Amino acid sequence: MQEELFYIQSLSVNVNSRLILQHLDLKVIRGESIAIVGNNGSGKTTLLKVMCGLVNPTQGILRIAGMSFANSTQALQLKRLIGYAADTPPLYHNDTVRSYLRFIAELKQIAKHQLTARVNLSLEVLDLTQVSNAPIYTLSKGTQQRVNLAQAILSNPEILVLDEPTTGLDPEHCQSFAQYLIQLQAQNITLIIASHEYTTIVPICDYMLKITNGTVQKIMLPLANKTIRELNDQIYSAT
Amino acid sequence: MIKSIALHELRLVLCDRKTWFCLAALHALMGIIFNWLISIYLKDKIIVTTTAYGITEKIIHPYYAWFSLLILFLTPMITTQILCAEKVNKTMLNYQAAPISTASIIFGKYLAVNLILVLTILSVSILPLSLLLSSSLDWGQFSAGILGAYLMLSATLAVGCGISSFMHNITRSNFIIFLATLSFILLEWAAQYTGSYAMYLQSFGLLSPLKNFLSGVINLQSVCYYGCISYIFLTVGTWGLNKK
Repeated sequence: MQEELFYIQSLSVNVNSRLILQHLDLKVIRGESIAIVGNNGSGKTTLLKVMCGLVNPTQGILRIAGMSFANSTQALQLKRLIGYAADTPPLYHNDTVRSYLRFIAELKQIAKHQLTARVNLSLEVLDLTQVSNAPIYTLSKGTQQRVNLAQAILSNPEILVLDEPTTGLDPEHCQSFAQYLIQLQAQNITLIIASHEYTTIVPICDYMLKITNGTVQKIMLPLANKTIRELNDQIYSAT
Repeated sequence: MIKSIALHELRLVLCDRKTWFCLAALHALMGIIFNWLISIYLKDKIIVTTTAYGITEKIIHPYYAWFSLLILFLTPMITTQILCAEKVNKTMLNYQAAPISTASIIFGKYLAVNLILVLTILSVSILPLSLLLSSSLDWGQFSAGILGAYLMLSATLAVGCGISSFMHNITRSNFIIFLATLSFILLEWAAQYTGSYAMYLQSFGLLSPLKNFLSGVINLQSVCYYGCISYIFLTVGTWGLNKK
């Protein structure tokens, strides 16, 4: 039987007295991969932040694996399950890549004996080994984004929430990251990705969620083998 | 976790050029003040050839009073940098997305600023300790003064952390923490002009308990007062950081 991971019912979110999401209903099965699309300001980032417990919903129900962020003990357990990469990399510019990742690993309470191995693995996956001792302010925007992705995968999370993960990435790194995501899919990791990258990232997802005026529409598409134009037409003509 | 956060903050602060610039400026100012206090002491001709009578009271007491006052006005900058600036730079997300409580975040950051404070107190204590080369010190008054300065500044840092946790604008945060710190000092000044309420107003001031310490009196009431201020503002800070 398929296990329901996310259960969202009639969820609304107000930010600064502005209604961002309204009466949203959504169910996500464990191991599914979802691409969230929509225009700028449509509420993609807010939805991801709500799913990670970073923004409180104004009303409605959000349960992840039967737990809720409203309960402080469960909230801590949930944060252990989720790896989140924000659209703006939350990096300390004076820090080096390695020490930043070590600090994040400590925050994520990775066991001390695994800490170095996990950091090294993340550096390797995101091709950051060569710049591991460089201060973050010396890195290019694309490399900083890879550091951001490295911190998200650091704790080997069961749910990976990525907000515009390929921003600033060159095609080669974009492709290799998509390959890594496919490996994660094989491990039954749930992927929730807000992206406009229709060539590499969106096609690996099971379906898309299109956000328009605060509401969500599920678009089941066979995403693979479509041209960018076909995908765009299907996303934005679907109502 | 608190230790990890504190050590990380400490490392970031020590890697920042601004920190070293501020420390250099502080030491230069403290050097000028120390020199000025010594010249006043020598002018008063209190010095005796073998024992320097009253040297702790005449030099070390005002030295730590000046130090406390200078740090008091640096508090907004330090605490804003450690909490509000993290929100502005969006690096607070690292903490918020991690499975740690907001209390750990606040206490970790508070521990970091306390470590910085201890290092600063130790480094500025070299000048007063240099008096040992030519005279002797009243160790009771000396250590009580250091303890008083630490407790008062630690309480002020807690006030700063508490307020900073609510702020999303660096300038506004600096200004409000400065006003809050100033209002604690102004309470004592206002107490002079009030009749029956003077005692109550004075007991809320930050500086009057420090005066006891600087004169060598370790008062448990003053220790509790600074402890309570720290606890209240750190709790407020935890609540402020919990707001999403």
